[in-house]
Amino acid sequence: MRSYLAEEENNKDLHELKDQEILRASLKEPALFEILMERYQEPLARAAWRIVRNPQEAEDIVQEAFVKMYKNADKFEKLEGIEFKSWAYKVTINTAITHYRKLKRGEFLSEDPTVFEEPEKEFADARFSAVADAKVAVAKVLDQMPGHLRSVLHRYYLEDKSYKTIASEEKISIPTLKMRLFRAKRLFRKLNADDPHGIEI
Amino acid sequence: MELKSENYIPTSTKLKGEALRQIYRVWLFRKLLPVLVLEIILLSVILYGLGQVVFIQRVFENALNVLFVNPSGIGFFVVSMFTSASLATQILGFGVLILLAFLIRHFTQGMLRLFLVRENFFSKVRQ
Repeated sequence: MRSYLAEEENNKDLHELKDQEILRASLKEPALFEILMERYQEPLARAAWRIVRNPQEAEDIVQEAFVKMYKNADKFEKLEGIEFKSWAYKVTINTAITHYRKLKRGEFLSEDPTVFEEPEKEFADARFSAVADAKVAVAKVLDQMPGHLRSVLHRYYLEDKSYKTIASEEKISIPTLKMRLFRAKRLFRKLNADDPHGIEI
Repeated sequence: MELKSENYIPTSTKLKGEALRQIYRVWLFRKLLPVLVLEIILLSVILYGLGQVVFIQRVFENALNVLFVNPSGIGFFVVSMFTSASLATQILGFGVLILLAFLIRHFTQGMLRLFLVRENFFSKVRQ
């Protein structure tokens, strides 16, 4: 055991490893997960606190979220192009929302609209990462859709273009565009529901 | 990093400790216990096989006799017992030794990891 500890002590780069590498290593050495917990404990607790507004519950949520992350580490390994940080936020926020609903406080978005007002830089970063990850997942589903539906959905949601711009680019009227978007969304939901790695809508 | 006071929540070390213990349990039940159980089953099967070809009680009696009468001769007794045994017995005996080594190794690994988790070892390394 002494040699093992000495080896770890000599490993100066341990704390400089990327999150994904630590997560992978922690599957063999569970104590390594502590490094990830140290990195993200506070920001995740703040993210949970913004939803439940209770420090004790926020801590419970973060604890549960960390255990979920460890349990589902294998699934995370299979997700391509997704950062651990944004995945961690996603797991934590989903756990927080589930807690919140269990406590029968209703939908947090409708009751507490201040949640996303004036977000701090760090939270904004996390949201940006989460959006980036969602875009990767969305792109996978879009690839399975017919070209004319994929095109309008991509332009509207991923390129943030207006109805007017899209209609002009597609050379169709705005009512036709709306109908096409409606069909595209319906198909997207169906394909996404069938996808095991689909996003939550 | 500046935090708004209303948004700041101090996270306790208890949180980390409890979460790490749960993570250790996940690792224990998913990674270590299946291996340990498999090794114990294999060891039991081999011991049963060994029991069919060797009168183990008599071997222990002889070993104890040698140990009490001539303690320094126990090594020679073990070696001569092994070399004079049939090939099947030697293979089974070798299998028992290997499985015992694996069992001890995995058990100590489990204990070591429990120690690392309980002591928050990797955060102490950084400090």
